[in-house]
Amino acid sequence: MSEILKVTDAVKVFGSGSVATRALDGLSFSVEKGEFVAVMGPSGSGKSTLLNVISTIEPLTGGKIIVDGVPVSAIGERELADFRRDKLGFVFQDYNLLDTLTVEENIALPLNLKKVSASETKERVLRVSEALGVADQLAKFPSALSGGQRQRVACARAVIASPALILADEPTGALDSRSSKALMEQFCLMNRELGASILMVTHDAAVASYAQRVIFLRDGKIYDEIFRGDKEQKQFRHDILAVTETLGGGEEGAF
Amino acid sequence: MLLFKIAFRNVRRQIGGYLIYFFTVALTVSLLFSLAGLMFSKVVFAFSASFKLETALVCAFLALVLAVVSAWVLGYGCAFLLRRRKKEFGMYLTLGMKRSNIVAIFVCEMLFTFLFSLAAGLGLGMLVYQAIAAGVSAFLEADIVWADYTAGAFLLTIVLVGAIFLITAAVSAGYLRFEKIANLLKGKNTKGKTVKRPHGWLVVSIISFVVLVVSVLVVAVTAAGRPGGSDYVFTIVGGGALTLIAIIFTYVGALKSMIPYLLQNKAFAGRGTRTFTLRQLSDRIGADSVLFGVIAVLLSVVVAGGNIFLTIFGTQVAQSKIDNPYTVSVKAAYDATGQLTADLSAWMEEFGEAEAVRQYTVFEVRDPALDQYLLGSSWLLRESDYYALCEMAGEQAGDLEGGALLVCNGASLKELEETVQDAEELIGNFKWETERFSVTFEGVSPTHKCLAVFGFSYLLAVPDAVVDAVEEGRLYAAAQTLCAVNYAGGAFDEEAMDEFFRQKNEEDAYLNFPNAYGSFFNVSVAGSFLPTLRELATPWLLIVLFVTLAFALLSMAILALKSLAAVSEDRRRYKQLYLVGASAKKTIASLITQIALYFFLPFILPILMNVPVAFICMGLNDMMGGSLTNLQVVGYAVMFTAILLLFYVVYCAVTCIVARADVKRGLHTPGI
Repeated sequence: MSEILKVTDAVKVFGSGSVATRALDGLSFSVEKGEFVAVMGPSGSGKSTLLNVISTIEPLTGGKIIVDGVPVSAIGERELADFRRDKLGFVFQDYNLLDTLTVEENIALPLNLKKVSASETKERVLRVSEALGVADQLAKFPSALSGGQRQRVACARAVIASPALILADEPTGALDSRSSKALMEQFCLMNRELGASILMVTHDAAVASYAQRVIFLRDGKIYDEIFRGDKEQKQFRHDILAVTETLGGGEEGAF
Repeated sequence: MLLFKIAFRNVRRQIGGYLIYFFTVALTVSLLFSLAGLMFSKVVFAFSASFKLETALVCAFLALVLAVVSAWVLGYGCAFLLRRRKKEFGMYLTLGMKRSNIVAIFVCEMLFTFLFSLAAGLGLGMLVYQAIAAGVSAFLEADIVWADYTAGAFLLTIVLVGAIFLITAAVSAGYLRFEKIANLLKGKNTKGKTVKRPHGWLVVSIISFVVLVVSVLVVAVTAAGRPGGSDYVFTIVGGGALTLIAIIFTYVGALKSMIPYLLQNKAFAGRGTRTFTLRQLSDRIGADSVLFGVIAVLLSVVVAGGNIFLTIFGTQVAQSKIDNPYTVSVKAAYDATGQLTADLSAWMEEFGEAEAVRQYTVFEVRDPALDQYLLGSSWLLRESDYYALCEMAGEQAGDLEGGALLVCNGASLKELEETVQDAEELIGNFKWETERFSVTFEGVSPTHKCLAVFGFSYLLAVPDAVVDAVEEGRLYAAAQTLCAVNYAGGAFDEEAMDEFFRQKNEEDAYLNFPNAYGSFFNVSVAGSFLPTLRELATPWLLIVLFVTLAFALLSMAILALKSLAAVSEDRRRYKQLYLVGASAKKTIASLITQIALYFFLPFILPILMNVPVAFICMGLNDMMGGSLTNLQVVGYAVMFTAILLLFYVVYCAVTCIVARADVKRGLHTPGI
């Protein structure tokens, strides 16, 4: 497998002088193509900052990030949008669906931006929406959908342009446990059937247990890293909880 | 004191967001001040000395209209500020701040902005007031006047603006006092929606547009014809009202059907950010289609009213100039003794040194066989006088080539051209007359304005020898003492001369010189017609000027404030679009497209209205003597629209700049 994401000595400093905060402090890791990786850590550990620097919303202070062979820091301002459009897909906690667009238009938006033909767009929207179970919702507006349905639409939008990497920021944060479980199954489906590489930030051990690998951050550095391997999901969740207990000072749910 | 500080800091920190509000309030205040200045001005009122009461009433009415419009605009501005800030106020409430404190903060903020805008508006108003006074003087062809500043104008403006502020502040305070925290905290909960029955709306739009075209055509054709009876007025007024109603329905129908059709066309809509742009527009425009129609009506009224006023005034001025080709023109009675001629010359000299004077006679030729029956073709003018008069008027004379030339003034030639049958008959008469004088008929002269002042429509210019050869008893002087004068430099007291000859006409000493008009002599002083026109035109000019400004300001301010309020709520969507992969440039382009379309859609029909209105104005011009060329009439329409468009573009550009900064900031702000 080839590396789809390579983070090397990533440093991100907010502020300067005595008020400087190192959100990322020499962080290094990589994600293989087709891998599903979860990132966990307490508040202030650098999870969101990591997603922001990968997605080019925040510039790096030091170090290097390579996405699908492209060094992020070398991309000019003009090419950044193309980079995000072609290489990245986003799934956010609050869905970030455009409420003025229909479900179909929301899903098709990345293809519209790439100027894909109308017929091909239609075909791909249908295929992805069927895979994610929202094909019968295409004509509706997001306000008419449940939270789980909205997040599945967000997933469809993230995956439709076949990006190199899907970044998910607390995707189950606004969902109940049933919807969370359903969504994670969709993530696995995207990963398995559609070959999507996923980097997901979460604070929920149950959610993280769907990933193949979990990276734990603390104070901008990797604290620990565990692989699922052939373990049952339940066992993997226990492993994750065990790490979070030590990471959060011994209390479950310290994040 | 702390609240006062918070309010002051808030205004200072959010100066960009407040810019369009500040701009709007300052403009409104400046307009109010200009109008109040005109109401109290002695200088500007001198233009309408005979209509002081009427002009004062017009100003008072306009002040009322402008105050209502201002209250509306400023109320809108206040709502705009509230929409921008309500989330923040909701947050203050959740932090435990009392509602009275929040009301105090907001009212303080408004007060700061208002006082600042009032000061800037008064400063700007002092300039606008002078510009309006100078513009009015220039338009009325008077010497540029510097308008006087009066305490009354300042006081009235401050009282009006203060009253409007109190009303808007009270409404806002009421809203903040009673609105639920949850409603304050959440932005507008936009729910995307599809327009129902777009086909139905398309049909409404098409039918309304057909009605619009037909009603405009009916009005144009009626206006171009001669006025007659109550049917004429009914058709014009009824057709005009139907046009305005049709404009509203055309807008509502078109706006509700256009975007759904565009969205259905995936090949068009599915490119780049078009779907997003169209959906955003659909959301705003669908809700505001009636407002767009009303704004289009207001602007159409402004365009039509402005053009018609300019045409009427321009026609009057042009006609007056045609009627007065020389600085002074005199038509006097028969003067066998030469006393009147000598007196006239002496009086003329009292007013300045004449640059050129030409005394001439138009002869009336009577045929004894026809007794006293006169033909229109019987007026003769010596060739030498014809050339001299043309030269003094700066006109190209026709060439007699030893024969006779039919000389027409502008209007008469037009009549000749329009009614061919009459023209042939008239020319036939002239040919017949010419044969009697044994000269060749050389045709029709170029159009001359120099004859209009004496009331002759047609003359026959003939060689001097022909006049001299007419046998005794057939030749009469139609107007014996005619003279045309041009003063050196053209500078003399025209009004004093006019008044002087008015008085002379009433003196007994000249009772022996009556002419056909019942007075002893008619003196037309070219410059004296302007004061009369000014008096008549001033109230109308003020109406057109301020109604135009008020309607345009109202339209632009509402569109600008609505656009910016929408942008502040839409920042999240632009951020989402940006994150999905649209570049900052494309995101901003979508924003600018939305604002530009939002601004200019209501302006499309008013601009198109220029075409029928120009035809109506051409008809009016013809009806009033055709003293303007069609190009001049079209020129007025183009000039008026261009000025209106310029203001529009400036307002739209300022809105775009503010919105762009707002959205661009949001793209790089985490958590929006």
